[in-house]
Amino acid sequence: MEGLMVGLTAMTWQMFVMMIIGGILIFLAVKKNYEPTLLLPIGFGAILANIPFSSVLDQTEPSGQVVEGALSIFFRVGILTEIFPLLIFVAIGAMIDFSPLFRNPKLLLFGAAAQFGIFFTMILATLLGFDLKEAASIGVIGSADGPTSIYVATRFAPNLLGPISVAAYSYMALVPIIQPPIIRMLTTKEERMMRMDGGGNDRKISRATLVLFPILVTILTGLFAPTAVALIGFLMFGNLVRECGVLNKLSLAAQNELASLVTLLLGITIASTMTADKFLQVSTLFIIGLGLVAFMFDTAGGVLFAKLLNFFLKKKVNPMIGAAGISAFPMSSRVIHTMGLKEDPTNYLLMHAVSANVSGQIGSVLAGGLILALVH
Amino acid sequence: MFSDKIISVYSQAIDISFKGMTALFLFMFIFFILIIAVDKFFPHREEKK
Repeated sequence: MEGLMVGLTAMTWQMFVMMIIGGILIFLAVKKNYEPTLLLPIGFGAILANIPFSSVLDQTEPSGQVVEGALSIFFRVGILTEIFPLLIFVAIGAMIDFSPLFRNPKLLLFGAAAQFGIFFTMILATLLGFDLKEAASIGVIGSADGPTSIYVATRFAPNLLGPISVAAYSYMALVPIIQPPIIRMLTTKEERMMRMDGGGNDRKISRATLVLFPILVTILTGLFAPTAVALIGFLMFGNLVRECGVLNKLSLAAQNELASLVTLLLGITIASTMTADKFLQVSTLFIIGLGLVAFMFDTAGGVLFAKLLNFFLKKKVNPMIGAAGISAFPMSSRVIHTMGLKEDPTNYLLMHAVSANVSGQIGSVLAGGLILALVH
Repeated sequence: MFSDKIISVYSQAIDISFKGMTALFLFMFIFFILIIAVDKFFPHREEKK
């Protein structure tokens, strides 16, 4: 009988709090539909990992023998080797259609401007006492790109992987709440009503262009920032599979089965790091707060850059489009489109916002790669 | 208010941020040129039936 009580007697209040946090994440996923594919596995995994002597984690027996747990094995095989995030990149690459960007390539610059939050947050994090690698990992929450955040955190701050992943995915789901007030604060009504011309929205792009783009981007990035090759290369490989036109089955498998399966494993495996002793710390609160700062300054960076660009452009850009330069696709472009319609029900900004949003997907991965290259 | 160590890490972060943002814009500009060039050399043509 005593043996059956071991778990109950070893339960601490911290473990109980972590189970409640897991429950909240499941609630947000199920009831509010906030990034359910990630938050649900993370929430359930947090419960699994905080059951005393949980067999999903490695446990040391009294004899000193280590019994391996399934989630610990997944963590070593899938996260520490970076395989899970990279496979997600293949899936994301297969989902991205770059053609809206080809029709309006100047919007690529917004994909750079809207990464400002990453660097601003990194600087802020150093002032809060985080070391450079930890600060960089926290800043990358602002990439609004879960796999990039996980990839960089695995390399630089595996101890912070849990809170960084939770913050990244939670704020991505909250883009429709975070972005509008910042955009309204930085723009006038006239600016929000600004119309943009079609920009050749119905122009067709040749298959050669669609096939060459991922290959050339990979080579160019690799030549200048070899550390970014894994990130950008896997993303572009997925895109090449999509665009080559002869691997439709593989492309669909990457977009559906691969994405679903790896996301499931990624979520529940990350949760294995969310044990009470690692997660319930002041640093977690800082990370959650800094993540929000990163998203806010990404949005501000994009909007302000668009306003700056308008000084030099003949055909002006609606400054709200700049905010769509973050990687959260397609939420951000939908937010901008809806805000435009609210100001003027006949102003359709969706295609322009999608172009900026797609460039944000390249920008976020590139920013992650550059952080890996620049931080030592 | 801040220790020497924090100030040193902070200075490094500012330096990296400057380099990072510059490199990001540079890469995007290169990709911009790349798109224009590839699109010019390989324009869309209606496929013959």
